[in-house]
Amino acid sequence: MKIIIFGILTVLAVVMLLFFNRKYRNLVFLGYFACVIVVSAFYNLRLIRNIVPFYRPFSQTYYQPEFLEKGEYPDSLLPLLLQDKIVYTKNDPMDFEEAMRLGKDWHYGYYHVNNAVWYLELLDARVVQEDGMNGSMPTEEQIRTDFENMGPANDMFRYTFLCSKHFDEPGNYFSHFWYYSDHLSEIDVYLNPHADLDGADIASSEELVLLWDSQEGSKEEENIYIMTKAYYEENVKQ
Amino acid sequence: MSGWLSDYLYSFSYRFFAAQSLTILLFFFIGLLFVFLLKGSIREPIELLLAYPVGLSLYILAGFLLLVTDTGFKLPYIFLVILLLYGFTLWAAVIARKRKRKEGTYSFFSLVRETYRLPSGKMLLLTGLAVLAAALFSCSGLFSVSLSNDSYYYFSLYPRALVHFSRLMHSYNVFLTDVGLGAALIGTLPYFFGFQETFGIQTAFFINFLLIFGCASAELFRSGAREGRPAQGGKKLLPPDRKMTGTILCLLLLLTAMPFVIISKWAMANGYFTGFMFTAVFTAIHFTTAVNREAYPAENVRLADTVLLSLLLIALSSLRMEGVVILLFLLLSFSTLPFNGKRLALFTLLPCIVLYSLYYLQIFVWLQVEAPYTFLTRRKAVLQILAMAAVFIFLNYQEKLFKKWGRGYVKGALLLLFSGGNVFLFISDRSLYLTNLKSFYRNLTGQSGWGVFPVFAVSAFLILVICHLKDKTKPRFTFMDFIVCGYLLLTLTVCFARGDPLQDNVGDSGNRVLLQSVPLIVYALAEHFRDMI
Repeated sequence: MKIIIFGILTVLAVVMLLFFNRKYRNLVFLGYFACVIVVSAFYNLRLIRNIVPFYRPFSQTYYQPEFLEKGEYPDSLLPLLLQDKIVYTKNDPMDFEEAMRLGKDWHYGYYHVNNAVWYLELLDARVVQEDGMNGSMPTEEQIRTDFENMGPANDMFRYTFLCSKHFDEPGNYFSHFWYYSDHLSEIDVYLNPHADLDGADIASSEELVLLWDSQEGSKEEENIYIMTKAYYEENVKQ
Repeated sequence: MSGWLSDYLYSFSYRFFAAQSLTILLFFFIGLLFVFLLKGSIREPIELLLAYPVGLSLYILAGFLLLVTDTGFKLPYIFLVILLLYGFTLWAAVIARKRKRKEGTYSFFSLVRETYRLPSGKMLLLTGLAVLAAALFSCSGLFSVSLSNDSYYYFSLYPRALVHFSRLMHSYNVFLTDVGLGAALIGTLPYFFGFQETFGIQTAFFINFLLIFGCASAELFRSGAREGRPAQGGKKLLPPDRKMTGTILCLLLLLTAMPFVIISKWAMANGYFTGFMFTAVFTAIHFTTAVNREAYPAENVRLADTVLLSLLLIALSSLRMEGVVILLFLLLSFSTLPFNGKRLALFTLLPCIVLYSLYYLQIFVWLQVEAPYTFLTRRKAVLQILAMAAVFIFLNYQEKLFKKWGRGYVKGALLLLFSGGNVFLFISDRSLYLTNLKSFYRNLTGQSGWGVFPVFAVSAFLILVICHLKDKTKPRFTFMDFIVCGYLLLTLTVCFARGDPLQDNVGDSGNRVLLQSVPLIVYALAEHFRDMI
């Protein structure tokens, strides 16, 4: 269509330039460029949103309200939620030999616990790892009623190589890419946005808890769950 | 959830809005002060328009220096480096003034008073208010942005890591070899100044860029004389209404070009690269036009103007990994203009050789970054340093070569070199080269962000050919034509050097590198149409 439109415009311009007096040349150019501008603007209005997505960042944050619907970039919300807060996590590392014994990939031994904790530190959260939280998990009923699925966290973990303390292969971009994008299926970020018994939520509370799935056997996918400490103490703690 | 989320996100709005707006204002004045210290006064609009890009360039240069010397990437140190640059510039300007005076004793302050003419308080206040208004407008959220995976991880999370660790780390891995450090440094601004994203910074940059483009268009349509050569029908001043019409049409053409809309709104390095590249080319043309007009009786562009241009070029080179290649191409191109080659070499290439040598040493020797695939390899790093050294030597000896052969041969030699290079690449890997060409063609004609622009460019070219045939005149091969042709040939080379075949989509890096050329193409076409008026 654009070739036809511009073909017609070009032919018209050329005919006018050839047959009109030179003193009308400026008018021909003016008309030609005015048409080009209009066609271009119209083309943009019709098609540009099909090519790249656009957002209006009224909130002044990276995370856009539209991300929630599509489950995009949940990790771009985490810096706002977690920065400068005390974040309690489990402390259940596993070395790569034990991981392989259980039928997991050897990468699990390097990445489990470490990537999450180092990522939290990168976000300037004050991480407190507690053995007492090991084995704790929200129930399926709690996940269904109290938590919201913000979307996949695979990319979030894929890029934790930036703060990895592993040298050589386990620490590099390609190992992370393979593990989180090719090897694992989807892992999600869940937030509990509701107010706890103290009246605080994850936005206002200074103490949060971040748990990951306690996977038995060969399963490696670990969703992460973020809640207030008060909610954890009341509902999740074992 | 969406209600809670919306309330939560907007609870940060005012604080982040104020912080980002004031940061834009701050960097405008940081740049303005440097321009003032260099030039002694603020007289031309272009000096005001260069202030913001110069401010960002100073930040990039300071950050780059701190990171590659492992001194500690912290805000006080960044300001210290900028202050040292101010101090050095002030000292150099005063020394230059002292040398012009006859022998005698002059106090430092009397020399400073002679060297500098302060702009009026009213002008500064009005400028500040205008910039603040533009900053508030840029950060308001009214301008849409486009976001992708790379936007967040390369230009938000990676900068966060730079600020968190305050140094280059082994763990950054392929980001050190694939991401332009300059663009990542711009991404660190939120973490130092208390906001979360750089959408306003980028929007302000493009508002500023459009003003620069408008200034360039206005200069283009002011008269028929470019590069000291007469336009069609002899040198003439265009009537003000035609100058205004030409300027407005140029701006609207650019604003409605889909490639420009996408590149200016996409939170990636390409937007900054586009703006800096055109600004550097126009600045070079502007400074040499001043020489050609003989309003300033000198053989070469002034030292202050050369230093200003050098700062922009250093920043440009750091924005993307192929930035050094583009820098060398631009420097060789500028050598055909009345620049003092030794000054260009001293103020642009010498800092680049030092900075990039340290950067590559950091990556490959001290941090020992190893990955199965990287854009920048040891071999490419060494080649880049050698190429910079070769161009450094050329620029130092260019005067002797030009006396023998003239400046024009450089353009021909470069185009021949790039064309020959492309032929060589085609022969060395026919399949990859043809795949890349086909990808370019499909991107230009498909839904890869080009809109109607390629068809318009062909149409405009045909119209120009008809005009020349009717007038029985030969078209000029202008400096901007040379830049566009050289850039397009270089793009093919750079994309080939990537190794992987290009993809058919808007996000493909080769496609984005090509999108960066649009302001140059619009200007080049405008120049030819101006000659036809």
